[in-house]
Amino acid sequence: MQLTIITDLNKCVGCKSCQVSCKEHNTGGAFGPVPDHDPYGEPDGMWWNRIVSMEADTYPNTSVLYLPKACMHCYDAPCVPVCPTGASFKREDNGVVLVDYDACIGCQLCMWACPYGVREFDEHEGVVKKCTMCIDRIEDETLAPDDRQPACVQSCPTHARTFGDLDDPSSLVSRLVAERQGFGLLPELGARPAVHYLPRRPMPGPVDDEAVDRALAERY
Amino acid sequence: MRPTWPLLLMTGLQGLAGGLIITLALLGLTLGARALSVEAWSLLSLTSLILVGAGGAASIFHMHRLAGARFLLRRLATSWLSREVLTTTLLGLATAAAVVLPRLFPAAAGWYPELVGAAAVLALIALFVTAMIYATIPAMLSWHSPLTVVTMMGTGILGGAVWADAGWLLAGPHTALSSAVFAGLLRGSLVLWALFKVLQFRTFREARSRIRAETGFGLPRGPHRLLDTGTTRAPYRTQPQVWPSIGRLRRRLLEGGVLALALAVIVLVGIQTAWAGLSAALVATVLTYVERWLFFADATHSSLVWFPAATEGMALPRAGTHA
Amino acid sequence: MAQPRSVPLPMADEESGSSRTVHTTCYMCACRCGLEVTVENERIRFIKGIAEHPVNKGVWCAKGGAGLMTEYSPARLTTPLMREPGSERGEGRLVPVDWDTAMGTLEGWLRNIRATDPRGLAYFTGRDQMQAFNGYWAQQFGTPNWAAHGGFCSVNMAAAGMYSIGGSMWEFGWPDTEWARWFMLIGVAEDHPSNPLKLAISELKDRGGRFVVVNPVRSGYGALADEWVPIRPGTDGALFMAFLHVLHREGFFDREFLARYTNAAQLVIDAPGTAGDGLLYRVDGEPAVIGPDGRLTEFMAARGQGQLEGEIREAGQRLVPALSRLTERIRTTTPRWAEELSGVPRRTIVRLALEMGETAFRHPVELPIPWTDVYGDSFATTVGRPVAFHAMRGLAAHTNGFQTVRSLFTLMMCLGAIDRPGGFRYKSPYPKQIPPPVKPDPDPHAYRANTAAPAPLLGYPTSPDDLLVEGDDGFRIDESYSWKYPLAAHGGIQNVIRNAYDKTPYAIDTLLVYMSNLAWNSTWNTLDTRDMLKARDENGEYRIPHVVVFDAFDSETVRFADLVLPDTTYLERWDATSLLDRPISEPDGPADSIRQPVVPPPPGVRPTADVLIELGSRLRLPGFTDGAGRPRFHSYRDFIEHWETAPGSGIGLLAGHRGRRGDKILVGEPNGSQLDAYADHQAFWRLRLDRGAQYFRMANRAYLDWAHKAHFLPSTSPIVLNLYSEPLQRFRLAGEGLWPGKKPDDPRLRARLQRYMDPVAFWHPPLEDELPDHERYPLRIITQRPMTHYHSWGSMNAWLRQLVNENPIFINAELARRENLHEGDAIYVESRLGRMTARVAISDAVEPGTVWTWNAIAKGPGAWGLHPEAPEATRAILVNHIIPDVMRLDGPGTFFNNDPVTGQAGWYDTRVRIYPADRQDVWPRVDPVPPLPGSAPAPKRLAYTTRDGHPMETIRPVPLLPKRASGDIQEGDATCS
Ligand SMILES: Nc1nc2c(c(=O)[nH]1)N[C@H]1C(S)=C(S)[C@@H](COP(=O)(O)OP(=O)(O)OC[C@H]3O[C@@H](n4cnc5c(=O)[nH]c(N)nc54)[C@H](O)[C@@H]3O)O[C@H]1N2
Ligand SMILES: Nc1nc2c(c(=O)[nH]1)N[C@H]1C(S)=C(S)[C@@H](COP(=O)(O)OP(=O)(O)OC[C@H]3O[C@@H](n4cnc5c(=O)[nH]c(N)nc54)[C@H](O)[C@@H]3O)O[C@H]1N2
Ligand code: SF4
Ligand code: SF4
Ligand code: SF4
Ligand code: SF4
Ligand code: SF4
Ligand SMILES: [Mo]
Repeated sequence: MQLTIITDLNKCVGCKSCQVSCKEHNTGGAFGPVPDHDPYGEPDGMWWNRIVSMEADTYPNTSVLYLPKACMHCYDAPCVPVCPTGASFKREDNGVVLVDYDACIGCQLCMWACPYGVREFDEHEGVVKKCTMCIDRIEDETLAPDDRQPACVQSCPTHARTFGDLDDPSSLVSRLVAERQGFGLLPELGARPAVHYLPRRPMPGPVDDEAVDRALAERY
Repeated sequence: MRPTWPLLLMTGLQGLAGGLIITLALLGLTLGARALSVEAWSLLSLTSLILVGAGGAASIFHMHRLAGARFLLRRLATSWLSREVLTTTLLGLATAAAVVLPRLFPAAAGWYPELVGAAAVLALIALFVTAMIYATIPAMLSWHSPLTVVTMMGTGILGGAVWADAGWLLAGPHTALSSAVFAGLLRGSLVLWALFKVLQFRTFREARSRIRAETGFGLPRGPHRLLDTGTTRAPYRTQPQVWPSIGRLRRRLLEGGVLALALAVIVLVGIQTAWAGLSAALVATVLTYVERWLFFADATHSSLVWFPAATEGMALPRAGTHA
Repeated sequence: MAQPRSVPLPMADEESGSSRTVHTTCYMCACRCGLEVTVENERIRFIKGIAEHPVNKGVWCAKGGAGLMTEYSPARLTTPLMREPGSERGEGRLVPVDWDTAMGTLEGWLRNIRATDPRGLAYFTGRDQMQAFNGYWAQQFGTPNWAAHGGFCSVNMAAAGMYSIGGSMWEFGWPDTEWARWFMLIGVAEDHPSNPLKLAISELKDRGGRFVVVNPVRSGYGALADEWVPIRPGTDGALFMAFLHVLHREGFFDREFLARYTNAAQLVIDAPGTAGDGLLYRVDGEPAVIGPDGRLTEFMAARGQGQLEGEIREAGQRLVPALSRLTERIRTTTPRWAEELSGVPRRTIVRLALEMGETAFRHPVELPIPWTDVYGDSFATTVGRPVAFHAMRGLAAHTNGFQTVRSLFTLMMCLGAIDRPGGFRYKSPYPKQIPPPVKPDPDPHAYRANTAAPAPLLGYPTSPDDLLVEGDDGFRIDESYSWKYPLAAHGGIQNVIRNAYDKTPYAIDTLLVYMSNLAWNSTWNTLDTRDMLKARDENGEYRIPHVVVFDAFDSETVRFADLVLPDTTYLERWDATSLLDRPISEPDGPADSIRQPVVPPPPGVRPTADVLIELGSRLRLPGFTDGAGRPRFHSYRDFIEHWETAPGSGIGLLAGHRGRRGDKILVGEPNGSQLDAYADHQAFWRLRLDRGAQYFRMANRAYLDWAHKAHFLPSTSPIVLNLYSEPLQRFRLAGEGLWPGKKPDDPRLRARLQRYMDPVAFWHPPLEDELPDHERYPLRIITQRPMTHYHSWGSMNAWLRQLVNENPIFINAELARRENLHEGDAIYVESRLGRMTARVAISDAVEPGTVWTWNAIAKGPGAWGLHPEAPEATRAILVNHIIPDVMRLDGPGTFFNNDPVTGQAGWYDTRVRIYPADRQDVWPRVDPVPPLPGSAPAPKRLAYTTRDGHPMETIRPVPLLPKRASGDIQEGDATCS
């Protein structure tokens, strides 16, 4: 089993709901707090999920894209083998990559090893923290079924995010990846991220070019 | 990348210590126990011990949570850092043995070459292991190269050799083989090392163009422009692999500085007086630190594709271009 | 390699301490999503959406989730404050006072005003969600000078909708993305309205609908567009008129719809120069059409068979169908003409028009829902035109916004896409009559000492006689309903400070500001406006004698107050989102909701509504006291449950759980347990209309009968959509001097009425473009709302402020090349008002003639609980500094930078030029304000958790102010503690 979150970039509007709901849940959750430095001055806080915004191509063909970026829960997670203490580990049963704060020495080597820049360092506690796939929600049997999913998936106002098992070919996430050309980031670095993104899917207009040309030539 | 003092001290001192002990071992191997006076053997191996000890002490400050230290050897199977802890500790123990045994048992003084030789083998391993920590991270686009191992080990070994040379000059030659031959070999190696360093500077520069906006953004068509890193500022403070670019000019100056210092060492080593030897050791030490600082500070991490202000050194953090 | 294993995790059941969940309604923005709040150890643990809620269906946005940081913000006001004696207004030196003193002082001022001239009170509310209550309070007080925020917000959208179709966008109506195949989003930034629009776009995408975005900037929703249509600001009206041109020519007008449900066929008198010109021709008081037999027939009697072309002569007058007025006009609004103005290529215009026509007419949706219309004709199915539109301030915030929005609604009417599947759909209680039959009293003598105003203070004039004018001059302090801004349906909050300062039309005594940051981001010409607030007259008295602010946080405006009354947060009070206000209804039926206290407020804080109710009782306002002067309501909670629109009407703020036993809906006696019932039902109430009553509601027999019973409508008559606006024509006649009643003398006023009160939609340039030197400023500057911030109030939130705390000016890459500007360069942005500095950010996602930045990120140094050197004060820019407040100041009388029909603020008309700056800092900058007395030093680290055993030393640094005995401080003698 490999748990994952798929984000449909054809739906993500970059609202950062998932960025905040992640912090909202996790700062009080089992792996929290998720601290902030100088919160009312020059702030620099910890975020396990950051929405990157970017532009590509040139006016007027510009694309604008939002990319929620949290731990990719890589199949070949490079952050895991480098960790000297075993604090970083990948769960055998569900593929979630976690940090055992009790074993972590805060050497931050895993932060270098991670190609995605998603691990963050808590100077105060001396440990590295990151997205846990909300393991404390999905494994908490006292929660209602609807709450047993990552906070960032639950809050997403466009339902751009889907949570599930990528190793199960019949799961929704697997089907989405297969049918919609799901891709992972920086594949060339070989980490084999479990988190995937679905590309844009522009919907063409119902009027063909010739009809427009004809109308233009004849009437406008 | 953010260079931190514990890392600089740790890797630098470990390198010098290893280099020194390796050089001593080479002397012992070629010239036997009589290569140096007993005092010189003892003093120089003690120096190595102090260096490796200080490096080890510095590494403690690199740990931010000592409570986890008891698990440090848990990942020997995969983690070069785990292995570093082991090998550098063994290096320290072997060096300590070389220092302590002859003192406890004066009869063992003749065994210096063997004792030092054993430590040197461990030193080679330790230096290799340390370099492999850096060379085996694919995400560190600049480091992920055999050059990292070559130059890192080279810096340590040659730096240590210059120290040894100085010691040798101070202690005076004891055998037929003139230290001038040694110095010649040393100067040749330094030239070679500098060449590797130039190659590495190029690799570092090329690493910047290996930041892949196409695969990092998932958008095939450029130019790419990053508008927002998730928060208004790139998270420098919590991301040690992200550090504002040191700037083209400063980088050039520092690269030139490294080569100039290397040249100075080459010249000084050639003079063959005690004072020149000492100066060479001093300059080599500075060289080690400038080189190491630049190694860390100029490293390029794949995640910079999402933190471009860091690579471009922009006044405004909100925008950057990767064409 | 990896060494997989499990570690035991601390789970919820290991967490000790108390935990409970409370349902309420969010207030981090105006969307009003349903929230489930988890409280653990008496601190807020988690905020999430309510899955069953009609607004947000379980999701929540960044602002909503960050609500807990708002609750615990150090910017919270925790005690009443008064300006430090001897200090100047605006210096921001405030001292704590107790509630008795604060209430006594305010009561004294208000009592005096009310006893002399109630117009001396100007009460203006910003992001207000209790307009029904606040308006009622002001009406009971007797001043005409009350308004909510619509004047600086989107009254163009609201009014143009109400005068066209008896509904509008957002709270009044909605694009039906459930069935739409083609959806055009125009001039909507990233968040209007937040979660519903995101859900709607997602729904459209799931179904493979096509999404077209018209906006000078591509961002947010626009990023997802299948096609981005960059447009020059202020020219959308031209684009819509060109769409109409093409649609008409291609035969894509829904003629049946126009004839049956709009006034397109109704006959207009064509008699220029006479008093009847342009009015509808009536037979027995009913509008007439040319019947199928070519004879004059009453509209209803023609049963939708009225002719849309031709003319008829009657009693010597030429009568033409209203549609011909439109078709005449759109003859010249060609795609070529629109391309010239808007920068949208002719080809794109034609293609988009063909796309909407194709989709509407060749791919209609047909739902198996039988219904019957007002003509008694029954239909087996409900057929829709699946082209939907949604628009907001990109249209509204221009001084041609009213007519631009009119043209959009005209387009929608011609496509037949009003209240049909896949098109636009009303939200209850809309549709209303066109316009809704509410008007303020136009008699200046109606606003008398110690008397309540006879009518609601805001409404919809239908003729010049409804205006609040004496001769040429308006008599509201904001000049709403004057000749300058005749249809100012939401008031003109942005005009208040300058007029009060100018003492035009008269001086006021007290400016009462509730929930608006009028001294900063919701004003224009910010520095001058701040000076006007501080200005003194010849006698050394403040020109505005008293400024009173109700706020929950330490805003820039709080620091301009003489008296500050600290409000609770939305998580600490009772509240109602009401059908009488801006409802949360969905297209399928009415809904409303409540807020309830989730956590107790800090001790020194009181809900503003409770304070107003107490003031109402103390002042013995008629609605708030009985004949004997005894208070009618003890709190807002009490008011919500017991107040009725009229005694015995059975209609109150909430429509659910009415009646003594709580078993009635919409109409029923007040219920003393109503709020508890709401609290037990996830804090909201909704009703789904019968399927057969959900569409064509302006003319749906079943719906109209029901809506009358529900008191949404005064009768069961159909609502005929106004393609042609007779009320506007009446104003035009006044401009021509032909109206028998009120008319202005000033030729400038007459010219404005003639030009802008056009009964048929048209495009005119924004007023800014008519100023002589406008070409000196070739660019237009606009702002967008960031999705993560609600106006000024995100910056005191420790999490949200990290998401945006500085803002560059985004300029097109081509423009940057032309001006030789680079990323990060410091520039001046100069308008006709003055200049400010900014930093360049280069972007390809902005139209080359436009520059833009985020709205309301900049903060005054020291305000909002932030460090004076915080990036919001040192690196963020506020474009309001250079947005002109008036058109020009020569000659008597000021015309504000407002739409000439509705008085909507023209935020996005500002023209600028940019050039390199000789300074690197943010400029202009205002003086820092000192920390509020008693505020705790800001923590260096914040690690929020609600778990047991984690003390929160860093949260809620509640200022422990010295407790003072009541009466300790008198006005004028307070000293700093
Ligand atoms: N997150 C968040 N949500 C909010 C608010 C908030 O502050 N923050 N405020 C609320 C309030 S009070 C309001 S009024 C609404 C406003 O909601 P919007 O109407 O979405 O708000 P604006 O940010 O004013 O966006 C105007 C959009 O119009 C574009 N625009 C400007 N001029 C033109 C033009 O001439 N033509 C076209 N086609 N587009 C143009 C701008 O680029 C921008 O994208 O949002 C509400 N929701
Ligand atoms: N340049 C430019 N200027 C604009 C706009 C633009 O697009 N561009 N948009 C305009 C528009 S559409 C609008 S609506 C206005 C909005 O402008 P404002 O109405 O001024 O809105 P806010 O900045 O949100 O200020 C609201 C005040 O309410 C306070 N507040 C928050 N919560 C509570 C509460 O629970 N109780 C009380 N009593 N007070 C509370 C806040 O602290 C703040 O001081 O700005 C306008 N200004
Ligand atoms: S910081 Fe912690 S988790 Fe990361 S490598 Fe070091 S010990 Fe492992
Ligand atoms: S994304 Fe980074 S932290 Fe997460 S599993 Fe992959 S390498 Fe590790
Ligand atoms: S899965 Fe949980 S921890 Fe990971 S990004 Fe989403 S909310 Fe954050
Ligand atoms: S919540 Fe959804 S739409 Fe918003 S940024 Fe995250 S993935 Fe995108
Ligand atoms: S959209 Fe507005 S009301 Fe809804 S959760 Fe977000 S802030 Fe709250
Ligand atoms: Mo607004």
